[in-house]
Amino acid sequence: MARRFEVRRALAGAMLLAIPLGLLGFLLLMQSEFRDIRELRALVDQSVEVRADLADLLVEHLNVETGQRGFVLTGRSEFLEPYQVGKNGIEETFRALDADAGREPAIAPGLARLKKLSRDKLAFVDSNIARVQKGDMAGARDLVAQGDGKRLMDAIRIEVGRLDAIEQSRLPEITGSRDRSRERIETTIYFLMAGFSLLLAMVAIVTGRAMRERQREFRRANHLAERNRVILNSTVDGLLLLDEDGFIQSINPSIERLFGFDEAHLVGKHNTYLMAEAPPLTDSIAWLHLVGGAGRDGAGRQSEFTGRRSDGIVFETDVAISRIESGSSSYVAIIRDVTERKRIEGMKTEFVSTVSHELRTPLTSIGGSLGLLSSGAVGPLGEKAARLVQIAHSNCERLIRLINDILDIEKIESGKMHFDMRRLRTTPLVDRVVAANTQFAANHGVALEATAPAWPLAIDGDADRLEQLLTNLVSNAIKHSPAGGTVEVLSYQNGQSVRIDVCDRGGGIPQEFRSRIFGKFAMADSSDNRARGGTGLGLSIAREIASRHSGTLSFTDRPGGGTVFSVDLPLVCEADADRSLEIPGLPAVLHMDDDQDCLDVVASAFDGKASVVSVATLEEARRAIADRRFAAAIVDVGMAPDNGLSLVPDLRESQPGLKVLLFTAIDDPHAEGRVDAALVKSRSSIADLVRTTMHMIDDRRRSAA
Amino acid sequence: MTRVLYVDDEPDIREIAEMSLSLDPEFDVRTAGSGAEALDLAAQWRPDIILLDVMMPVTDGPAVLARLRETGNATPVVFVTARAQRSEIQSFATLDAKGVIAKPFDPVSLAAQVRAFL
Repeated sequence: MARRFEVRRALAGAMLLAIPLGLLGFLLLMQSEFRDIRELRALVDQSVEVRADLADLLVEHLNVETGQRGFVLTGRSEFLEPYQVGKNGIEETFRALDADAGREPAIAPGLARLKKLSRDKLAFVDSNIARVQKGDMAGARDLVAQGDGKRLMDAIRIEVGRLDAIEQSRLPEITGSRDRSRERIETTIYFLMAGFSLLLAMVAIVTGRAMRERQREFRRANHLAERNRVILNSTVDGLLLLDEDGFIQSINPSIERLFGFDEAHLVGKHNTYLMAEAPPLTDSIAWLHLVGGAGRDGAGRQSEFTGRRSDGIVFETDVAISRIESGSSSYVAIIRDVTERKRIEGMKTEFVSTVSHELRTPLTSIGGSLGLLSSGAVGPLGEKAARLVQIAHSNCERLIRLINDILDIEKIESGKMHFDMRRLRTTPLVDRVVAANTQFAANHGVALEATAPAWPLAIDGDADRLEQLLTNLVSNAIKHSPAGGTVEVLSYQNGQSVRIDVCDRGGGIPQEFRSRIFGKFAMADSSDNRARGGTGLGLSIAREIASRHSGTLSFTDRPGGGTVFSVDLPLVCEADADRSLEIPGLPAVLHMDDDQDCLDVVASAFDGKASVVSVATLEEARRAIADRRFAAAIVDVGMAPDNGLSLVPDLRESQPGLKVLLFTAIDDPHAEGRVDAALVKSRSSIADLVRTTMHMIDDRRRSAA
Repeated sequence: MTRVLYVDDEPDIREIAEMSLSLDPEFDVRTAGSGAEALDLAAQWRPDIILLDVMMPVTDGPAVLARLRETGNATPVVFVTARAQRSEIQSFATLDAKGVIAKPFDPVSLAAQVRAFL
């Protein structure tokens, strides 16, 4: 549509351009025509001139004739005057004729004859005059009477007449051609006028059409704009159009309704004006630009804030921000009052809590009673009674587990389960799960082994939930393992993920169950699993937990029998982080402790004094020593199942001169000899540790210098 | 003898808790059925540790704890709750409780759990 418009416009432009060009051409044409006319006029004038000259010529010859005759008759010298005047005149006139018509082909031969005749005549006259002047008047009179002179004169007269006639006949030609020239000009003018009129008419038509087109487009655009305006105005959600930095450019009526400010009041203010607790302006602008940079397709970035109405009342909102490019606006924000929704959510949470409490209360009594009975703590039971109590007790426990699982799954699926995401190393996580399930494994006659990754792997996750996930996999593996078998837990890096494999040598997953395995209440063989205490929800919950960690849970068959359940979680790149932690200029200190909290506290205590590399296992410590040089190492003894002291020989060997400190809960006098300092956790504070360490590092530096 | 006070509005649970805790010969166990009763006993009998059920009518567990601390009673308190959602556990931590025991509790190990808090 626009293209046609463009073409039309080009056409109109071209035509408009043609007009001045045409006028220019016309002017040039006119100029040449006028030049022609001027030439013609000159020719006419010339022609007239020639005829006048011819007349003069005749008169002059007559004068000569008269003078000669008078002189010859009377001998009086006053008759020589006309003769002389005439003679001069003849000369002049011939000169003039030469100039005016000498080149004229029609005139030239006649003119030449005339000249000859004139010369002859003059010669005759001159000789007569000379005779008279010599005294022979009678002889001269005789010559004149002979009539030669008269004959010459007549010939001259005839010739002049002829030439005059020729010249006369030429005039119509000239004027005729001048008339033709004028006609040509007239015709050209008419043509050009017609041409221009046509051109103008076409221009008018084209322009007219283009304008009508534009009118139509304009109306259409207006219509669309109106329709959009109606939609935007009638939408229940509040709408803000913001500029590049988040200042409000326009609002829809719902904003007025939600916040109680009108458009005039809000335009020009920053969007944070609507918030109960506005963040600093620079933060808000930076966040907005981050959103804008993230995706231009307008996928709304969701956020929430507490809004504040004009009357001071605060309320919860959800907001979706999208980047747009429309005129002068850069962002559109859609705001929804979620007070009602939050209220209902609150009710649901309340319900879940209440239900859990209501169900668990009687189960506490039931389970408690049965537990006490079956433990024999309240006295012996008869064999049958004991058996019945055992059945009741185990089923009660199953019921409790079921309730826990149902509530878990409800929470996870409705998004209400809160995940306390932190940076974790996988090794301590796996170790805890293994430790917690070792007894259970032993009860089934199954061995439980964990293989640590080659280097420490870190993820972001909720430790408790991930333990729940792994415990589920491990206990499943144990339950499905044959007596005497081994369940292996392997952790390793798999591309950009951390993978934890739980491997068993059990019977494998039956074909018909494979697609349902992660579904709710799915059990391969209900009686079989029930006996093993499963709820049928474990894998479902496990998968949910994995997915909430942006990871996956899957299984594959093991060659040689059995199953491998694999948890993939996004790897957090710690390697670079560690390297960047190394602050040039600060001494490096290695800290080994299996307690993550202790590692964190000690690391931050050394802030600004030393660059601390924290490791949670001996394996990691050995790798760290191999990686870089340290000024000091702080070692915890209790690194179950290992003894932290076993690191000391490695330290001494690979980094002689390294200062080794023990920072441990255990007070072991035997250790003192092998290390440079020993601090007991309950007696020494972190500050003591830092001070002692820095002191030893300085000592070493001084002694090395 | 360590004095243990168990507070819960459910009589059955009180009974089981008493039996479970009494499995430890070192424990002298008493129970209370409401916040008011608990405060009275706390003042008179002076337990070494108080196990407080969270959900109780009229005065709930946290309220009892608040009252205790207001009156200058610094007896360690452990909450017992069926809820045990992470957010709630964390909120208990700020309330100056030693910890949380989840319901349903294992009667056989209840005494040991309480010992760990002492």
